[in-house]
Amino acid sequence: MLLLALVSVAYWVVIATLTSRDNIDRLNELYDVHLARTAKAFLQLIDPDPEAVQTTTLVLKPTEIDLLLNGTPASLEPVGTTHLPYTPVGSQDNHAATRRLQYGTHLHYQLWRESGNLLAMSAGAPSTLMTQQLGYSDSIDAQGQTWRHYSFHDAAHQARVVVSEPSAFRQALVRHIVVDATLPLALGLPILLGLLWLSIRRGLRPLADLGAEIARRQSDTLTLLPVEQTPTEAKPIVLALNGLLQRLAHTLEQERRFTDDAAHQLRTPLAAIQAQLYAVRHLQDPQQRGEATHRLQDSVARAIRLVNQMLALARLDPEQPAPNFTEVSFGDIAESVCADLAPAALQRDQTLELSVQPGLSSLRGNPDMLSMLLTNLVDNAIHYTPRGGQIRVQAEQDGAAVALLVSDNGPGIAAHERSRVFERFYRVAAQSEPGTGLGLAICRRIAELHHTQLELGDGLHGQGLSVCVRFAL
Amino acid sequence: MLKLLIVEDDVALGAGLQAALTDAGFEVQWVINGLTAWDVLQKSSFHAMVLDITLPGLDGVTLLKRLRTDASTLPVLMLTARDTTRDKVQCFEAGADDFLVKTTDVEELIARLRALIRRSGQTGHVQVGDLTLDVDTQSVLLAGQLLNVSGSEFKVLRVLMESAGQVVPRSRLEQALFGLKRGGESNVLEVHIHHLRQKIGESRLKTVRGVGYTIVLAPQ
Repeated sequence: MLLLALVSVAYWVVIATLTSRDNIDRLNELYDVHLARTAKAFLQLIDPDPEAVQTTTLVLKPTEIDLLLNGTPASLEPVGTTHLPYTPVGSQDNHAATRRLQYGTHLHYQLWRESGNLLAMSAGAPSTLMTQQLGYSDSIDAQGQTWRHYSFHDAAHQARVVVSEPSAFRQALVRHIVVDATLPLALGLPILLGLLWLSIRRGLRPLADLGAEIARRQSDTLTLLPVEQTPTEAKPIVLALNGLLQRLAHTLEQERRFTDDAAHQLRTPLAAIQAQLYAVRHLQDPQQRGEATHRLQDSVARAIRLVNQMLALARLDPEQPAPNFTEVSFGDIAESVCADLAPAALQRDQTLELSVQPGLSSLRGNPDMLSMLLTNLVDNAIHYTPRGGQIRVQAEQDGAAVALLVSDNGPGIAAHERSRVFERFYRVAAQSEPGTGLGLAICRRIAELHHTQLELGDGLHGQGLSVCVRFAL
Repeated sequence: MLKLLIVEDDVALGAGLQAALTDAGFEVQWVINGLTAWDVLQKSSFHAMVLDITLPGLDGVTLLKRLRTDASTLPVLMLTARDTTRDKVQCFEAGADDFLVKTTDVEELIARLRALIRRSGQTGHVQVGDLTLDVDTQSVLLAGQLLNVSGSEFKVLRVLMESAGQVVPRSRLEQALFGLKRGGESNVLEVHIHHLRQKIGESRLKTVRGVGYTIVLAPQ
């Protein structure tokens, strides 16, 4: 703001200086022209007979001359050529101004015969030739006063006219005009700048208030900012900020829920571990001890699984837009996921079968997430299908989509429960197998990130469960 | 006896791993500090190392880089609580041979370590139960009896036995047979598997349809 004021003032000073200098030059030219015209008018006014021989000097009062000259404006019409592109002299305005300043009364007039006779002069003018030079010239008199002269020779009248003007008077006039032109600006500019500063400050006040409001906030105050009192220019910012606040609130809520869930859900397997450990330490019967050890291992495995699943879900949860998508060959992913999980199926004497349609199109997705999705689905199938069961994984072209289908012949999920199993920590009622209740929530989130969803249906041979995901190409 | 170096700063986990791996037949040395590990590696030789990332003294990744700069080919398995793709990539770039997340169960750790050591070729032969595969002489022994296997069958069996207990995808077996170019939809692999089944016994080699094959660790 201060810089702006300094720059505008400096700019104004430079412009004013340049313009004033220019104006002074023009005014001087103007007065010179005026001086010359006055001289010519003076000659015509006296109009001496070129033949007559006059020995006395006609002395005229300057006021009389002035009156005669200005009272007959016609005589001031341009005489001869002038080097100015315009003819300001003679205009009524200039005339009035000149009269008001009594310009003519300060001039000295002399009309000389070439022989050396002074025919006429203004009262107060010296009786010696004021300048020898023809045309414009300057001189300093005995009193130290500077004079501007105009002198010319007229062949028709056989006369020489000299008109002199005190420089101080002209300078005073010029100064007066220049000051008149610049003073209002010099006084007006600071006022203008002051007003400008005030109005900008006033205009920015709502923004400053908004800034203060945001600065005052605690890190957990996520209430929305008021939109009504915001100036129109700042509304997009406030709206965007409110959007961010809403997303932050959502994320914070998710985090809070996750921490809460995590603590509650981990208590169970930890309590089980504690109990089994107590049993291992206190049981005397080797067989019972063996069983307790086994259960201990199961509980630990469950806790580990829970932690892994919660971590996976937490990483998927934040509102991240499109994860890193690349061209993914679903066949390759299915092969490696099934290879990883097959040993677990073999241990349970289950038949795990993968069929990938030859020439299946690749799809756009995040390979790590898709791998996690399939791992969860196959892992669930292996987990909930009894020993000796069947699990089939299929990937095939389905119109403009790649369809992934994981089906088993296990107990399945009752139709009325199918919509609820995607909720976190929801456990199917008739299920005794331990699970985290997070697997399908993770799958659903991954599917959402890939702009699709999971469809639950009947499994193999009219029993069990099938999960289908269609990825649009 | 196979010698292992475990570098793990968590005392409970370190002690547990030492006990479990000793029980599994390894000769285990366990150190807590990264710098100590470096000193130990200078003095004695090992068949494999289990390495954590966050360690006092010298972190796992730096230790591994230093080891590889030193032109060591020691098989290294990273065992860490970090499990993002970035962590994995960082470890593999530093020269790790395998990567396991800390909650993996001990059985898988043992299987992976055995596979690592087998692949490193330090032993010259692969043993699964009473089935022995000698890499140097390209021969296969079943309960001491020399089996007559072709070159291709040997290649397939070697990959399967090196990853015994795990399911080896078809694509990896085809790669071992034909190199990087895909064999297409031929049934060459099936033919080799069929012949191998006849020679080593049906129950040892299992098919996971659409996925691949596996050599069973303990056939019924």
